[in-house]
Amino acid sequence: MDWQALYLSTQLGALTALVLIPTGILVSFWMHKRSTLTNQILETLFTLPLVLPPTVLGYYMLVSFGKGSWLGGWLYELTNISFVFSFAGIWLASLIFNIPFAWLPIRRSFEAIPQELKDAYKTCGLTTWQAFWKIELPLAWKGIVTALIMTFTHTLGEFGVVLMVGGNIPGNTRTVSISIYDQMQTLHMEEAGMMALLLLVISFIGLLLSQTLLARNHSIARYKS
Amino acid sequence: MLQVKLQSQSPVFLDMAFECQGGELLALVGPSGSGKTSALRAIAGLLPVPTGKIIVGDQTWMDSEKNQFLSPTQRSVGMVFQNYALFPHLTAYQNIRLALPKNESETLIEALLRDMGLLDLQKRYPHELSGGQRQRVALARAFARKPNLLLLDEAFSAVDHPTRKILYEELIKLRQRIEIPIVMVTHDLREARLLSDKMCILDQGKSLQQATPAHIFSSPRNKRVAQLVGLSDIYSGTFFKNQASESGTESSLATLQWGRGIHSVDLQIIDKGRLPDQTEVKWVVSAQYIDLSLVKNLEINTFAATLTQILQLGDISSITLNLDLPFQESMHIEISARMVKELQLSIGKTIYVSFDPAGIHIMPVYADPAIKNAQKQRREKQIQVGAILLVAGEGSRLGSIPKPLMKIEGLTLLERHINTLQGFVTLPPVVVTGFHAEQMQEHLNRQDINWVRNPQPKRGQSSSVRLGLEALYQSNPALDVVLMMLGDQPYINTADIRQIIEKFKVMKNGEFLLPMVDGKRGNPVLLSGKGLRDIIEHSPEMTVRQYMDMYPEKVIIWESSNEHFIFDIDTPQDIMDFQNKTGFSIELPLSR
Repeated sequence: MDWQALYLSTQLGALTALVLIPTGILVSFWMHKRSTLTNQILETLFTLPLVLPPTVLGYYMLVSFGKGSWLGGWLYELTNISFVFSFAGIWLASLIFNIPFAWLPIRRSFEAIPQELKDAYKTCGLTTWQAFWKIELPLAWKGIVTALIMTFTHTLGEFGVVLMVGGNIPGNTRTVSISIYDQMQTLHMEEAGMMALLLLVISFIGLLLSQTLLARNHSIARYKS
Repeated sequence: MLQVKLQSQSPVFLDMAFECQGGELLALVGPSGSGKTSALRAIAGLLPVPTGKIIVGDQTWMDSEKNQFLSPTQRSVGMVFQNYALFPHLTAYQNIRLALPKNESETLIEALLRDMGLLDLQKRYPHELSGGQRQRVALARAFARKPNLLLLDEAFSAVDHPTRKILYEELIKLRQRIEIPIVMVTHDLREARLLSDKMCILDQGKSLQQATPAHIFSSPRNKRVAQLVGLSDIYSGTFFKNQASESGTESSLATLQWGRGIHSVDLQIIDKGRLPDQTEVKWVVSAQYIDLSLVKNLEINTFAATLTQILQLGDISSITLNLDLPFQESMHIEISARMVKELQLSIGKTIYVSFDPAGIHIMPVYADPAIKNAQKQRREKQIQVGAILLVAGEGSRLGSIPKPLMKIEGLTLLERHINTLQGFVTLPPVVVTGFHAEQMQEHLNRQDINWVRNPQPKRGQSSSVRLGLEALYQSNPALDVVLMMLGDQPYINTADIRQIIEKFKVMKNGEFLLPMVDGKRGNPVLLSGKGLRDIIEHSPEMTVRQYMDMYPEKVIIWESSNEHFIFDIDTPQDIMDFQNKTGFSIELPLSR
């Protein structure tokens, strides 16, 4: 078992979720005040990573963040951090690649709050901020938890873009999925099998959790009954 | 006090204005899509409306002219939504607490919970409450805001019938304690009628009428309002103002011609002075002004009818009547089961229906401008009217006196008739004398009369008519219509003449117009210009009577209830009747 890779993957997943969940909430809250056209364009952009091959994203990341590129060079000078073949690089790739997994469920759950309830909190005299904390967030929290689980498990399983952007540097960019690939290449079938099973179990539990959350006692479903 | 004026083209069309006093309940009523919920949301500030004004008490919530717009949060409004809109993740108490203004003490919540009977339920979540309980929480939440205005959006539509009844009672009780205006949106007319002080009828974003429910149900402003408030029997007619009566006083009664064209009957109605003469109208009569009886005990506005359907709806029966009229018309009335029993109603039975003139409500028809114009033109069409006044009779049953010379209140009948005709004829009226000819000519020596003498009055009226027609034909062969009038009908006045001429104008076929009252042929009779030329040009012997017998299809019978057309003075008894009825004095002429 490659504990180092597992630790790295967990760290990557947690850090990705840490950024994407709060931004997802803000973006969703911000978006519901925008026009439908703006929202449609934004949604399309958010959904793109879902359909693009990881290699396409990896290609664009290498081209734009490589030290030879204008952006990469400038960033390196500024922060002394390289965004290719580094943890920072695969973190950035994960952030972009997980946008649909994080933001879309959050957005859906805010959208699912019935207009009547929104009208109701306004006529109750709640300010936007109060309404957000007392009504919108509690009603949307299941979508948020779902987004968290999806983002985390998906980051653990991400392979293509991580390999392209990060390569295979132990302790730095070698995540569990890359480690499995590596073990297979070197014919350590037992090791690979263990880690594959671990990922399978984690993904299964994660999905099961989000499914049950969505299905059972959903507050909005209750409202409509 | 709430004043609302809203105008908007999109996203919804709105053009409405209404108001509601403190302590009053205003119901906005209309079909789906009428803009009632939009209006409510606009008042609450949830729907931005480009043009308008909303004033609550001394606060202006919105004024597009001054570019003022308070956000919903700034408007002190309590709103109850169709599906209650309780927050599902909060308990009843928390839901109510949420609406409490910042510096308000929580004791208010306690009081509200107690008033609404929710003390035991305060820790429950909405999904643990019944529909009626949720509704009460919603109402308590609306009151917790200490609002200046209460809005109820179909607030009772989602609960079952027994619960609704209880909630109605609670609302009625609650209203007695609060002094703020309440606006309720509903599509349920019974609910609106039961709960509201005022109703505003909305249709396609427009406010059509605002008044008390009783007023709207008995006097809808127009046909659309009548339809929207569920009045199923809406009839067509034409409104005729009555002319000043003979004694000179303005009559408050008017005539409603029910039906169109020649097949119509006249109803007496009250003239409220709002509509011009000859207005096309729709009309309704509310149930409390309809009298049903087995015998014809009233004269005016009474019609025989055949019962075609009885629907028993508990204590109320809905009956359908086919009215015995020259045109097909039916009427639906709701009466008590007891009345069905008292009148021993059964299908096929004939009963008499009377409409109290006070209960007949007329509404102008706003027709297509083109149609309206055409109708106006037809009515305003200048027609050439000639008249024959027949005064050739001997008056034998009154001792051979010249009847047209009897004086009523100092003026002879002949003079009265000539005066009446003056306003209508386009050439001097022909007065056909026979017996007492000199006496009459001496009496009325006027230039505007074309005197014609029948040398053989004994040959009967037909010969006098023929002579009169010849005289008119010679004066103007292109006449449009000839009025044939008798000299001994004391009631005939300008209104009657006007009525029959208007009838003639809308008549589509036929050459004769003959009023018929209670199965009796009346006078005057109208003959078309074509009829005049036909008769004169046919042969020197042809009389009107012969012509009518030859062409019965050209004779149009007009069923009227105007008894002026059938009363003439023939016997001393007639004179007595007339005097008794009118109180007018009659002075008989001397026989020479």
